[in-house]
Amino acid sequence: MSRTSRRDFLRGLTLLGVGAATGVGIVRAGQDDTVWQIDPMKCIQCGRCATHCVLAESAVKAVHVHLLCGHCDLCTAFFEPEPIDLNTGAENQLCPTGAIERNFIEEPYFSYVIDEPLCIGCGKCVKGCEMFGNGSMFLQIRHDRCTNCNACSIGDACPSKAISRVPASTPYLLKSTH
Amino acid sequence: MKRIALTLLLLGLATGAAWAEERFPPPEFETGYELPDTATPPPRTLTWERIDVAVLVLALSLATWLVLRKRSRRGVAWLGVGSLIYFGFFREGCVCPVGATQNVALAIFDSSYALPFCVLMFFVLPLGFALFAGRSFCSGVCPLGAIQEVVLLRPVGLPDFLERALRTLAYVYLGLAVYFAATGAAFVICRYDPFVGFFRLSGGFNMLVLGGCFLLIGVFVGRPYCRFLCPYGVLLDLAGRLSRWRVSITPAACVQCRLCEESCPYGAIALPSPRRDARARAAASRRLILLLVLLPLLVSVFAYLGSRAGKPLSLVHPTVDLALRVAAERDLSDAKASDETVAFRKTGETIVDLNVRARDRQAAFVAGGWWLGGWIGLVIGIMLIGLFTLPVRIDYEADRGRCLSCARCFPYCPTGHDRRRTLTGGAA
Amino acid sequence: MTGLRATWRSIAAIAVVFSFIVLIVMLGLYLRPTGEDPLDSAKWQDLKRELSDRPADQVVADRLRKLDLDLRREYFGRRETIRLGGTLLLIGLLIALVAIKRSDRRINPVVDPLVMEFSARAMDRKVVRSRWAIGITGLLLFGGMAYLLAAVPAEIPVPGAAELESPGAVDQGPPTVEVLARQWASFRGYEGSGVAPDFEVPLTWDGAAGENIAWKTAIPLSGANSPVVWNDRVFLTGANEKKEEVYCIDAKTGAMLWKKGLIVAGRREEFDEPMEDTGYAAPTAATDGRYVFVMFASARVAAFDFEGRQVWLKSFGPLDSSYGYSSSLSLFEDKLLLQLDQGYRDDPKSRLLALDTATGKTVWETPRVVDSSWASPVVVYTESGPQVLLSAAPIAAAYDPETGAELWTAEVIEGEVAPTPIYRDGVAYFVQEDVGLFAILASGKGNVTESHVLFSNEDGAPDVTSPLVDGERIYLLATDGYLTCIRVADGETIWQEDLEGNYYASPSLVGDVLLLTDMDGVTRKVAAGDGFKLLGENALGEKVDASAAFGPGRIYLRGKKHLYAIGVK
Ligand code: SF4
Ligand code: SF4
Ligand code: SF4
Ligand code: SF4
Repeated sequence: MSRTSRRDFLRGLTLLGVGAATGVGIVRAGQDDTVWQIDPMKCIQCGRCATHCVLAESAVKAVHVHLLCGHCDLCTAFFEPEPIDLNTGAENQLCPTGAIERNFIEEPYFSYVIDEPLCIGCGKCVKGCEMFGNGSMFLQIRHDRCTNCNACSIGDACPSKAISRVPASTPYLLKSTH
Repeated sequence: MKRIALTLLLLGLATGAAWAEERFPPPEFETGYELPDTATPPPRTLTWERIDVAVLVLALSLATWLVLRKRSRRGVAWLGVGSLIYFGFFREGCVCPVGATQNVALAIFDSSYALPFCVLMFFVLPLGFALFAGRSFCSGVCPLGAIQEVVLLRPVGLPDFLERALRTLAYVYLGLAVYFAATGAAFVICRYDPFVGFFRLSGGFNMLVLGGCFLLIGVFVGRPYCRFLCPYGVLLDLAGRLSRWRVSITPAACVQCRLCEESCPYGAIALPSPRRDARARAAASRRLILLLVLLPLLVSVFAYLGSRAGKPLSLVHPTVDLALRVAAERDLSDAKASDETVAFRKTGETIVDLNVRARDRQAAFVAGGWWLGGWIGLVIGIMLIGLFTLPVRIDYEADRGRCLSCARCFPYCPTGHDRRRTLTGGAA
Repeated sequence: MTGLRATWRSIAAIAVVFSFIVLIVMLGLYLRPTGEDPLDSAKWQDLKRELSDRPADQVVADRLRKLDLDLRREYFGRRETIRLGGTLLLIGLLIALVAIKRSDRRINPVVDPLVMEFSARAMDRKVVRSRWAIGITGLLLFGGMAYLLAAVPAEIPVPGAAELESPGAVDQGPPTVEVLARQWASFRGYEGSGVAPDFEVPLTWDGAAGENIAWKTAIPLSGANSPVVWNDRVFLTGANEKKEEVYCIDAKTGAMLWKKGLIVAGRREEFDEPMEDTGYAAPTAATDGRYVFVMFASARVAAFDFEGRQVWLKSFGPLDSSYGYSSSLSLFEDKLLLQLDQGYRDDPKSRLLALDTATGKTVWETPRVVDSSWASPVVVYTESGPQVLLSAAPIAAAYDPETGAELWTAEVIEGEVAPTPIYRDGVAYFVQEDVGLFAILASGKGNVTESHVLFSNEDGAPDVTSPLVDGERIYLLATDGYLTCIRVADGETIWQEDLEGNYYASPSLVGDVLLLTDMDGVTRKVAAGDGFKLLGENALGEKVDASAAFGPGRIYLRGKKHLYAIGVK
């Protein structure tokens, strides 16, 4: 067999293989596209979300499902463990960047809203909310920021393996009332 | 009223910190306060991924046409810059065919993993083009290649032996990348992608430094990542060897003027082979037979070693890592527990169940280790065999596998100049 | 042309210098030690401490707030600077590249055709060097892999392996309480509690698929008795109307180490055929690390040593037990305890018996005025000394295992009773289907019916399985799958749940997980706690009547035909 015809034969063979594999792949790839997301039930707020994203400003932010929130005066997501007073003074706040807004609603309730551009995804508030509160605050990858890396570098570093791919049609894992 | 929450809090503490508990029932508001919605911005990438595939096809076709038909160095160079801007800086480097290799490997070995269509296309299309027209992907489309291409200012040739030795690393890296992806441990190519940090203008310090080093070396040594590490490059190399059409340095007939000999910054030009007498050829074929007999031995030795190395390599897998961490930290006080073990305890899984899972993964690593080791042995063996056979080549040729289709060598060929002169009416 | 080139050259120089400066600044930014976030600053924390000491001090508060603002500004400012720097660097480098390329057209080297050496010899030299290079690369890779496997430890511990590898020496004298507490030497383990010692065992398995099944060994004759375990030995018995056999199995491999039939001298006594569910080998064996003691429906009791030699045999039959005798054996020091409750209390044949473990001779015998019982005696260690607890209508009773003297009785039991009593923290718990659960303080003397009964609860009392207590809660599992959880503190029912399946096997507790194995061999895992939570199900793929047993790294489940060791291979 000459060099050329041998090459033709091998190429045909390879094409056949690649084609078949592609066919199988396409059939199996019928599913939804996927994006990365944090499972708030697994996350332990280790703080790596703030530091391990490929983006300088992490794609992970705290989100607040207000429906679950107790709207307490003493919010353990907002206040330091030992607040000097229950007001918005910097010395009392837990959030390192002051990203949580606290507003009076009615006696004795307050709302806590996250100012996303300021949030760095450190999860300090989440830890506070989870330990002593209702757990209505938790970390989520924000898809307006996330570049959907092929391998999420926070996911690689996450100690609880809380980050996995979820269908793009339901890109958030929000906590809900049971 | 002020401290009511505190009292409640202490109560909550007393019953133990359980998960997502409604310790403080959400209130009913009397003032008609409306709860704000939780914003859920949709993923922004999905339509773009389809566009990416279209751009990929377009760029591949254009690159192929520019190199094989138009023979335009300037054309591919600018196409490369365009791809660098689009795939690199604009689309921020994900997903790329290099990384897609791992997705494909994972999809083959883990049936629960659904390979996205776009990723599959990114993997298959450049290979398909390479099977027909060589590695036009490398010169005109790949953003990783393009960023190295633009920094290449003072190419120096590497001695042949060094070049060959370094090239084996790419094969090993491919083996490792498939190995770690198939076992579900990690996507190492993505984790150690040296350039993605530049594309995103951010990234870990170490990665930026690593990428900087590659670029610095790349000023002198042409495309070091492509030639000595890129796992996908290995696949393209193999596909390119079977290509139907190829880059030829000369558009007409080689006159053996040797002008192009050093023109390729990537060491891809194969020189004509010297004439050998019959004795030398007979000796060469005897050696070849001996080596072919020895090859299985080499492969088996490496395969065995690979299987034994499977266990240590399995430490890359998070489950195995966790099992060993938990085992090591069992007797330590809680204060010293790492985040990983804290998270593990929270899951409520027993140590034994974790160990069982980890051992199962380890078994996969050992099984895969046979293949990994065998692959490395095979690569070394075949490279050696290649060095013991006598090539038969008459002209200066761009090696089908190694040529990156950059078209740099074209202007060096005097016959090419001749043709261009005739084509452009002698103006150049 | 040269002028233009010179311009490009100077542009290149400027761009390179500019990029270099930007690079240095950025390096500085990257390398400067700053915390991850503003509040990690030591100064901030100092001020905060100061403020905590003097909360009213407005000056400190203002200083802290100012610092906080500065820190946050700096944090975000730095992020912006890095971004800006990156862009500037990129632009600078781009300009430099373009300029350098413009200023210097000589990019690739050109060969002088006359100078280059070109011969077969030169070529060969190159090839030889390359061969060496590839060879050395191969060696390096080889060395790298060898280093990995030699220097990186990656052994994941196999649960129980160490204990199975080096079984504790068989003691000369009777085992101490500490030793017993880590063995599964009699029915439901130490104190008959059903609580596994802290052995590491997998809690997920699949018998059919072989998942986490360390081994599976066929048992020739069937029996309702559970295995007992002493380090690396597992004992169980099987019988039919003709044969009575004892099996000794290697816990590590599942190999049948020996299988012995009872050697019965003289005439075999006739006895009533037991009910099918009870069978000929319902009593669970007991072992003290030197001997294994076995008993059968025929009322024959025998001792074997660990090598399988029959040491002695006694016969107490035939027993008057309507469904077939099923009380298991119990051990106290060098005494083997037998609960020979039979017939009815108006024709008292019942008695509690202690045999000398070495010879089988009766050490003491205490008559009991009770009906037949299918429960087993358990030895428990109370603060005031060891007691053996017995349950049979009409009394819950405790005896001194040393002398056989009755310590206390409570007239609370009626009807037929199979559940074995349990004990925890000074309280004994007795269960009978019709009367329910009774908690009795074990410190009494004589008839304590009026004085020491803490509470009773009629919810969900089982007719076959024994109860289990985790310290705070008692769990009752009825044959039809009703699982009841009762609070130890006040005897109130906390929750009840109707599980699937029917149950003869008594519940066991591993860590804080209840294992409930139904007759179809499905083990349901339920969290021990104040709320019902089903954690999962494991199928064995074979019918199961006997309660689970535990050993290092293993759970033993006896199916109709096989003994399964659940554990890691
Ligand atoms: S890395 Fe994982 S555990 Fe840590 S905060 Fe992020 S999601 Fe949570
Ligand atoms: S504490 Fe951390 S996660 Fe929470 S809002 Fe502030 S920056 Fe975001
Ligand atoms: S996928 Fe990439 S961008 Fe998104 S959160 Fe993970 S690391 Fe950040
Ligand atoms: S086109 Fe020419 S210069 Fe470019 S890689 Fe191929 S042989 Fe080398």
